[in-house]
Amino acid sequence: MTGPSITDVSTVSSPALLSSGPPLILRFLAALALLALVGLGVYDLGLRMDGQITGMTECFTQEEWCRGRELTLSYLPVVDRSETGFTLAGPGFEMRVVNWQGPALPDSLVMTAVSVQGTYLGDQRMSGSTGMVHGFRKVKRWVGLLVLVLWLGSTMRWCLERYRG
Amino acid sequence: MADLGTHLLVNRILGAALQSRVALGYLVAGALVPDLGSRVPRMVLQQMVEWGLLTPSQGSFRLILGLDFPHTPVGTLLVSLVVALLMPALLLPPRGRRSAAGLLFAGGLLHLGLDFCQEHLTPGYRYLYPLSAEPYELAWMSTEASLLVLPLLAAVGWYLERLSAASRRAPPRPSPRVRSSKKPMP
Repeated sequence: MTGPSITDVSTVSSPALLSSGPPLILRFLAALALLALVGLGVYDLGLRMDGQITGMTECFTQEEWCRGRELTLSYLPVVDRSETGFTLAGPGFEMRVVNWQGPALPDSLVMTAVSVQGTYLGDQRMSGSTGMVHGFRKVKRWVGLLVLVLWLGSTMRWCLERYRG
Repeated sequence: MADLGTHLLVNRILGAALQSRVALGYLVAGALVPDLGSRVPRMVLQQMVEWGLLTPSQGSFRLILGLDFPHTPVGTLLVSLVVALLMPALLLPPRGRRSAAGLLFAGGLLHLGLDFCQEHLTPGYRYLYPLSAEPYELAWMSTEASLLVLPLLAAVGWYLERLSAASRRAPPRPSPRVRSSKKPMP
């Protein structure tokens, strides 16, 4: 009959930052350092993209600065159209698109959203040099919201089960 | 951007080979890292500017633009590391924080890969940052294509969950008895 074997115990020379064992303060400091790197990346990328319009906010608050700049509006519903163009509705604004060069709009605009890129002309008007027409307007957002709620609920339930043991 | 449901389901399906439910959870959660790190803060800041809570200035607009960084591979990696470092030990996957960070990052890369295949009016994602700030995309499918595939993905995901639940309920297989090559002692 053989005796119990001697089990080799591996020694841990120093706790690695990404093991489960390091003290909370050390992990917290490492996380802060990484967040600083993220901040640096955000700052640098913002510098490189400087001058681009982030959205309609600039055009409301700095109308003269926006005039003549390239503007891209994404996934907005059409609320009005005529022979000279159509009007997009965004959060807190409306934009009249003239000289539309994109694809033809469908007869029914109920489920339609439009993305347009062009030049801001001022007074909530822009040229539509290029664009896309999308279907399933708002469906994506509702699907995303539903999935997020379900996922959050199941994750919270799982966390509670883990803590209760 | 593909819809949230598609991102989560793609990660769930591609992670079917993972044996640990916790590890799978991290891979699926990784699908949210790029958007939670970039689009959500951007939306919040833009809304704050509209509400007058944040002064519209060159600095605030640069900040909003720069928040694209977490939606890059390097940004996703950094955010994944932060989350893994701060996660309570009880919620970690079996192999610890390194595994958690790796799974979150892998899940984030799957998200970025899916977005890379889509067609937008103008390419908006900068996958080579910080080497380059140029946006790229393959433009293989429209942003609505994910909605058309979503029912199929949901069905496959549901089927995989049923398989997983069944395997967890099944009694463990007894380990086969190893026959000793030695003859028994008289």
